[in-house]
Amino acid sequence: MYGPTLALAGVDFQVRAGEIHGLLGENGAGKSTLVRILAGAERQDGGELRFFGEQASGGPAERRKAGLAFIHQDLGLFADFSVADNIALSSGFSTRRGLIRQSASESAARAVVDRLGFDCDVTKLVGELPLADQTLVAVCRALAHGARLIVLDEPTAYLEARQVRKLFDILAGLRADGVACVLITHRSEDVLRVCDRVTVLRDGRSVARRSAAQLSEAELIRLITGREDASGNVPRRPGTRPVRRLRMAAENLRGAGFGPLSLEIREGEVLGLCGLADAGQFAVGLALMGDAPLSSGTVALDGRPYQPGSVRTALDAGLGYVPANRTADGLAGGLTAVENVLMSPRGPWWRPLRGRSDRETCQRLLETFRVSPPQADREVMTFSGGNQQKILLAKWLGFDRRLVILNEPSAGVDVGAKADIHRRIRRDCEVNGTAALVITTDFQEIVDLCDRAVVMRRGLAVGNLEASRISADLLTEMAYGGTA
Amino acid sequence: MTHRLGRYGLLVLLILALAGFSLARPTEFATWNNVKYTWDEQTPVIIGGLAIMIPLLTDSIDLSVAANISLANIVLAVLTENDGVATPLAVLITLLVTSFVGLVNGLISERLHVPSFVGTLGMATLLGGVGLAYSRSTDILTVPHSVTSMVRTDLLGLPLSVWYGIVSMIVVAFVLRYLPVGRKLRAVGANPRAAALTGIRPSLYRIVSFVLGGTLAGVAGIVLTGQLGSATASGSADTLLLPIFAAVFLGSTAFTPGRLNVLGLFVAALFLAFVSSGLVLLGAPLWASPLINGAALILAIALSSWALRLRARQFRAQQLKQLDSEDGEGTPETSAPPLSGSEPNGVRQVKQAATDPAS
Repeated sequence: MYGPTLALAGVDFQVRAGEIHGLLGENGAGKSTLVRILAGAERQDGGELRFFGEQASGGPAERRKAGLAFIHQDLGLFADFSVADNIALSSGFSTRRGLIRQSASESAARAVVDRLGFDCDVTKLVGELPLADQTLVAVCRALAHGARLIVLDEPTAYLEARQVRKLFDILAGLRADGVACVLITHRSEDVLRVCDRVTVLRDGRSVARRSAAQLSEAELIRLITGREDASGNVPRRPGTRPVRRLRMAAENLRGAGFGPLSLEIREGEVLGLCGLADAGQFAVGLALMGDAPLSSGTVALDGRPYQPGSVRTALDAGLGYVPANRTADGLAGGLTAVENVLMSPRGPWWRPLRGRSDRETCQRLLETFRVSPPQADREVMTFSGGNQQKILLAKWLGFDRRLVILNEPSAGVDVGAKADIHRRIRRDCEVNGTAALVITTDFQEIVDLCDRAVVMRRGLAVGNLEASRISADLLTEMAYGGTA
Repeated sequence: MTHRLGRYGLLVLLILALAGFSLARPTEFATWNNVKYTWDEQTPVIIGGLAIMIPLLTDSIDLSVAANISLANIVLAVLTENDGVATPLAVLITLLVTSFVGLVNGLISERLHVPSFVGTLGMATLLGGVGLAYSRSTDILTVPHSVTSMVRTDLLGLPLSVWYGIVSMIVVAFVLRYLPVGRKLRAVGANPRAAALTGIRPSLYRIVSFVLGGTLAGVAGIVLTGQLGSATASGSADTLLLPIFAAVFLGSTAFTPGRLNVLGLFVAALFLAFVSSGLVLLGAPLWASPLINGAALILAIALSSWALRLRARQFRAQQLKQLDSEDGEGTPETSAPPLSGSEPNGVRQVKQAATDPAS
């Protein structure tokens, strides 16, 4: 397929009408190649492919006509068009004498939306809808042109728990119509919650096909990685950590979307700050980093007052900030790894950069972060997603910061890379005494990584859990408004 | 192999053109004088190319560069010829004026939030008016000897103008590659948000890039004044705008395909000039030269984008091979989503067409 190498080497994959089928595997296991073959964008070298009982033929257009739909992470919707227009663009506008009949496309769209039980105003612009609803619009579009098999690639990667639930509820409703869904995902909890059956790919082979009801999460992860202990759960020893100095104490912080909020974090501690996507935890990080204004409150860093006025001040005070979206906010894809890691070199403007020693520093860093290949001179966009994330973390974790703010540190990376990343964060905190503030909507990440967790809801801290009490269920409950 | 073709294609084309024209017209084309003359003539284009390259690297476009060069031409001529200002002082004032124009461009774009494409387009027209007013709509037909000799005197067989071009290229290349400010400028262009979260202020660096561009436009205008020995009230450099952009974008296909680079700009400027002068010597009709220059630009960009796509495919194959050999350890992925900077606007798309053909 790609020159002499094989991306797929023996895959059995079978989806029944009206089921939700999970397709799992680490990055590089062959999921995307399989999807491209299903979509007709690529041809298989051997084997047989049947849709709805018939031998598959033709390219993407024929497959689409035959009732297949593919919904990628980039949903392929037009943000400036209304929901109805988006649906009509795919299934055809109804016209009178060559002119579009707006009311007809709106009522056609409304019919599909209602059939799903999806509460949505079809005249609204797609760009104004929350992400989960946009995904559902893509599902409606697929149904409108008669799809009977819908493949969703990582639909939940950037959704918070409540939105995930909404999406899954509606997908479950498709079962009755006999529409099959294939769910490609990294999140094992999604699979266990919604899927009927699961196929796991590893190294281009299908290694398991199971009913989801028979699987436990640990077993699923073992199937995906092929290793026993790659779940990313670094064993913690709660209570054995010696009492360390206070690194940061923030009192009565208020800013856009949060407050009043008080936080304390010690040297070497990994503190989780979590909640639903709109709980305000990300705004806290931005305010501490000086990127958003603090309207009141005091912060002390190592006992000295710290006033986060600008990003520069924050960096000078020893903070580091890893944004949640590495593509949009974190990395300059066109620059090399070393140019990203040392993007803002210190020193006066006229002093030339130390090219070779910088490259060597970066090289060593890439090796300790297990970036493959560890080439400092390579453009960042040529690395895979997980490796890019490691480079982004190396930019701050590698430089002995006093406090690093990590937003969604393992978003969209596979299980193996996630374990590497968690191990690095913990090691850095243990060895260098760096304090890490992990800000996330992924409660599993808190369970896997953090020494302590503060849960936020509507801008306020609603709970403070020690490691021994942290569990995904409790965190979810608190985030939604239960009491702990 | 194709990778090398992308890198050195333009250089090979330049050599082929030189060889071809030399064989066809050995006595006229293959002379040191022809090389000297063509290089000299292209120097304002080369320096002007450097002047737009710096804002382009921060994702801004400076369409007022040619008007700024014309303004420098008028200011220097009026100061030295009409007002009798000493040449060194006049040169300094000229550079200050064009740098100030750059500063205003930067402030309009970053403080008033006018897209640089529109802001500098307006500035180009405005500067034409300023030039007419300052020269009282009268062409200046001669400039003092000190101005022409500063540019035309030979040093080591090449006129000083050429040396100014060489020094400008070396300085710009050094700043962009080896000084922190250069890396920060490129970071702002590559991803302004990432730069901001690293403590770099994107708007400050964009303004700085416009000022540096303005200074270089001044240098180009001073060289042009020395070469012409006169100034035109209506703007003697205004026709250079498209050649400057052509040279920068054609140059971005060479050496580091898909990226603006100084060496590429140099080779591209010479290539375009030698092809024009060679065609004239061959007795080709007047329309042949623009036809070939335009086609060369489009073809070169198409070829380099093809080479980049091919390279991306090779990367994927390589990663899969690695996957096979590592057997799961390290787990590289089959493909990485391409990173891009801020949301596209018209300017970015114009620029991307030439600088970022892979995406």
